[in-house]
Amino acid sequence: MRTYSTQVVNFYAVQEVGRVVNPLLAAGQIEGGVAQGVGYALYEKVVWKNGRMSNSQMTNYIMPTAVDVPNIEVYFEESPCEHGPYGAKGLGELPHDGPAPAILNAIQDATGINFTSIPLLPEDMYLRMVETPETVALETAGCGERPK
Amino acid sequence: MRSNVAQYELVAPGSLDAVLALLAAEPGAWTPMAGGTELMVALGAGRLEQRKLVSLWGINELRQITANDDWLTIGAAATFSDIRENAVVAKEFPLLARAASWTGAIANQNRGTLGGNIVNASPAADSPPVLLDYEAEIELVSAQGERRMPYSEFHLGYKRTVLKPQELVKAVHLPRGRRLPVEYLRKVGTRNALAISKVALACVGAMQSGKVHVVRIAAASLRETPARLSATEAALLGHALTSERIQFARQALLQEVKPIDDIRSTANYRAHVAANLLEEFLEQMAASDSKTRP
Amino acid sequence: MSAVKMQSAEIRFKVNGAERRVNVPPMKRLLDVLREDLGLTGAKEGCSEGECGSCSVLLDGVLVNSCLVPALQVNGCEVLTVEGLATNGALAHIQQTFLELGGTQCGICTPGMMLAAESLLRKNPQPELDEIREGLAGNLCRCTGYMRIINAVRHSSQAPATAAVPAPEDAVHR
Repeated sequence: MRTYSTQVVNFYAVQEVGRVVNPLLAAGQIEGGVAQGVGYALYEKVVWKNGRMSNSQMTNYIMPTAVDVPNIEVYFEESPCEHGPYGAKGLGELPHDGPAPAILNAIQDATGINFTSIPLLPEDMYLRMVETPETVALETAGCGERPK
Repeated sequence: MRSNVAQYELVAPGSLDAVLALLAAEPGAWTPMAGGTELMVALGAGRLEQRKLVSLWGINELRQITANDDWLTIGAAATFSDIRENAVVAKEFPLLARAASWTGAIANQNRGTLGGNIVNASPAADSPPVLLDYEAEIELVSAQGERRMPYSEFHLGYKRTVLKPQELVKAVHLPRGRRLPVEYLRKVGTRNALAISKVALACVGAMQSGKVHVVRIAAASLRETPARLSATEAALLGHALTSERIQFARQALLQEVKPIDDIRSTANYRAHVAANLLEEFLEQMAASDSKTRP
Repeated sequence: MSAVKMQSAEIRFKVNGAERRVNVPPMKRLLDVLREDLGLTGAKEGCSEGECGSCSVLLDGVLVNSCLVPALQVNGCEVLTVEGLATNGALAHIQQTFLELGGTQCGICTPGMMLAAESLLRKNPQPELDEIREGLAGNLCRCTGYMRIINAVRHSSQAPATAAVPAPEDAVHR
């Protein structure tokens, strides 16, 4: 591992939304939320200094570009909700919930380390894996189900 | 838009001689601007202090990329897109084409110029380490005449260069026919595109009889200026690439670099990753040697 | 410090094929000339620092961030904005594909995205998927996750349909 960077290459979102009313917009909303979740997980650190955000420019608040966002596939489950129009439920905020936990779980699967804070930057991963390896040893010792 | 643009003068004399005459007539009063990808950002943010600007855009004499047998000459106002699209650059100086492709994104590359980038003198800039590895020379011009020096002598300290107020960078010259068999360039940014470098390493080299025969290692964001890592080079020159030697070179690098903590990254991360990139380059060097062994 | 004289320059240039003339400070940003002096509000101000691409236009056929171009440097040039893509009321192919394939949600990035796509396809009529991603790397989008934008560019190109982006008809797997 050279740069401690993470790259999401594929993302599969299964979303239960009651009833899909407009497939194009519904899928588009999920894809956008996933992209935002990828940023939340890996890139979008807010740097605070004396109570002010010191990285409030697009050059230093890092959101994903078209080269950073993975291939995203969207699948809908529909269990119509009796309270919604045609059985539909809201899906606006929904896609933002899953990506960061999923990505960190994938990182745990790859490294054996249970990172619990986002965004998980390469600097954070480096710190954990290189500067405090005793923490890493404790983590991996605790992962009883990890295949050898 | 945080500036009152009506308070800024911008003139376009239209020729190199006319620009130089203006700079000589009022030294320090006029700030040259080519593509504007740096100065216009300052304008938008309300922090462009220079009120009198002189445009270098459209002066073809400054934008040419020409070659003779010995040198490739890149005009200071050549854009990064011009550099990417040039056949000689692609064939003989591929690391420069790659560095140009990583500078901002396409719209920035269409306007940003090599000269502007060099004069802006950010230690994080993508092209300068490559220019150092390729042993570039830089040509400066004023109404009084020209001077030319190794590019390695251009930067004096953080955002300080040898450029005098009435001088412009005229061109960067790259010596042809000195291409080395191993070339390595890797940039670690905050994301995969549109990123300012956290650390970048540019290396060229050659092995001979199992030992490092030539090696040049240059870095971005590891010192106050773009810099050759001469102690690291010295640790490698003339030696076989045993694992002990590679570790020794890693240590030399870690001793030699002086990265900082800033908004993009941390000093420790930068140093450690730079050492990893060095090791990646040395693996390529070692592999190049096995290929040529009978 | 003496007061600086208020600056003004006459700029003559072509915008979307029509000759235009404005009197503006020479350092006025092309973005502001387009929006304020010419009423062409397609180009948007997203970041003021040439990072988001929502101000992108074609200047002499070349993609630029108009927030970084001073008016004086546009004298004698040709500018293409999003308003110039359609001809005689008929949408350009790139506009049609964005519309049909969900390439636009809030619309802020869309003018810049379409011009970036136009610039890419003029140079590279059959881009691979990674070339499309690179061609759009300077245009940030928060709504779409880029998938349907990339899809729209792919459908606008002459590239064979082998890129790994789901077609709109596959959007809903039931």
